[in-house]
Amino acid sequence: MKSIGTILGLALSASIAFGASAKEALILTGDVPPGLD
Amino acid sequence: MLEPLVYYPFSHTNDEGVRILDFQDFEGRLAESWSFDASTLNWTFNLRRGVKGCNGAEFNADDVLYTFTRAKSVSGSAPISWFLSNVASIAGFTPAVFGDDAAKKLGEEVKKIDDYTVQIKQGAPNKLMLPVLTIFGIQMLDKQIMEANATADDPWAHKYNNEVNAPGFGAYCLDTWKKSEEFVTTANPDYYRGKADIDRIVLRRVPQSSTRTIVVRSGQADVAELLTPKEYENLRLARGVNVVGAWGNKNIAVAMNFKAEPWNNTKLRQAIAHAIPYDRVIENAFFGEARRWESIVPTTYPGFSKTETQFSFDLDKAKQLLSEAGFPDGKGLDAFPAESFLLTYPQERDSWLQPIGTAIRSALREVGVNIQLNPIPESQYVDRQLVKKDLQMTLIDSITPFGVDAGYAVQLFFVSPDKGGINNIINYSSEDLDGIYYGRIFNESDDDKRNQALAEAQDRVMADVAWAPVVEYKSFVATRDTISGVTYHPDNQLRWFELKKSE
Repeated sequence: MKSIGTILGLALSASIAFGASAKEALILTGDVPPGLD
Repeated sequence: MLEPLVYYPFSHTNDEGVRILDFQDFEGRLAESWSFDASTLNWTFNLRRGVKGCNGAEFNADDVLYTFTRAKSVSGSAPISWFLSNVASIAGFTPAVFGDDAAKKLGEEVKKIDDYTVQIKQGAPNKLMLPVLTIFGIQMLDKQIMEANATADDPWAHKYNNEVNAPGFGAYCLDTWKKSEEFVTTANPDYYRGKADIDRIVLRRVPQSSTRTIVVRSGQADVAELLTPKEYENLRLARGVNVVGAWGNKNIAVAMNFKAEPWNNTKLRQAIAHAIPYDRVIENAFFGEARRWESIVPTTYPGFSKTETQFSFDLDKAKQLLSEAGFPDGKGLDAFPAESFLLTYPQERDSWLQPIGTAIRSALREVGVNIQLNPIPESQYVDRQLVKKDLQMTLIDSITPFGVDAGYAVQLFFVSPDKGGINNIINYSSEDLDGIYYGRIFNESDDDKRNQALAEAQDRVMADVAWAPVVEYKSFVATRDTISGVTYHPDNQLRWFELKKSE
């Protein structure tokens, strides 16, 4: 459950930083592009 | 975040609510309009005015010139933008750039006519110009930001581009990027198609698909990608979650290496193709959410053709072909090293690839061919598959051609490696196929003639069993039911601008 807590923490901090009225979305993926340039 | 010159227009919404694009047509993005002069092979792009990037710089012809000059410099570790320009036959983007410094300089082939007009010249007729311009590897960079982050050692700012930011003229601006962990982005208020509906998007990597499933089910995440068929199946029953999908370019194939005995034996490969239990794979591994793959390019792509040659699940036929191959009932195969019979795939996706591999292993055993499943770490897998090309037998699950065209897929995967088949992972080399491709497809501008040649090329590859195609499956995503606007794109990435979130 630790990783879920981390994600919740992240979502929360994003919300505080950006203000309550802003629309936010958290997308979970398995593979962030490594940078292919 | 980047934006293309042109892209595919919206076509329709499918029965699962996914927006589908029209892959036969194009609409202007950073280019507002364009024209093509067949007599000179010149494409003239009229650029959109008033487009602003994340630091306020206005897009113009200098950004296009910068992007192509950088592409031709082949200065990065993976020259994708050069490759794409080469595939589209843009003049001067030939393999000569790898040997000669002078050949790396951009000449008149990409020319600024004025601040909002650019001309790009092809070296030969080629249908892939516009499809290639949609692909992320050749989308437009913000010259001003890139140049500000160039260094003496890295004049084209590859390190910045790979680790800090990919600055362009897209809908979102990057706030922070923790390598291999997360992107935090804010909607670009000046985006030329209007500010995105969702102000801020965090893309986070959570390696375990089971964790992603739990978090989206709990409502603490809005979208979960890359789940297993079983996880999607379970989430369909969850309250507040939508699982939506579309047929695109996802597929499974078994590939055997032409440089390795005994797999360089065509009859043996054909025997394997007849011993794959296609329907069992669809039921056991995909819960019915897959279909037989009847060619070696995606069914949804222009130029696809169901090949005349098809391999049904037929163990008697497989046994007969095994005999003809010189291995009756599998006798004689044990003379080859055990490594020849390892069916290798990425262990990160073991939970859903293993049932597929197990079904294939069981069926092959019935005809006397004993293989073992060999899950290995994805980093090793990718290196062996794409760089060393030494996997003897592999379960392909993630090679998708981003160029939406059968010819693009044929070149990328099946043309001989030394003739342009850069992702020809099994070292397939056929003079017939190369001849059809370069003689009748690559520079053919007549659609009917090109499609006829493409059909022959697909049948050639199928009959040779360069790959044994197994199934195609849908690209799925799980979202909270507050999210709409999911659109299928050939790189299987969401475009965040298209997402809407209701409260």
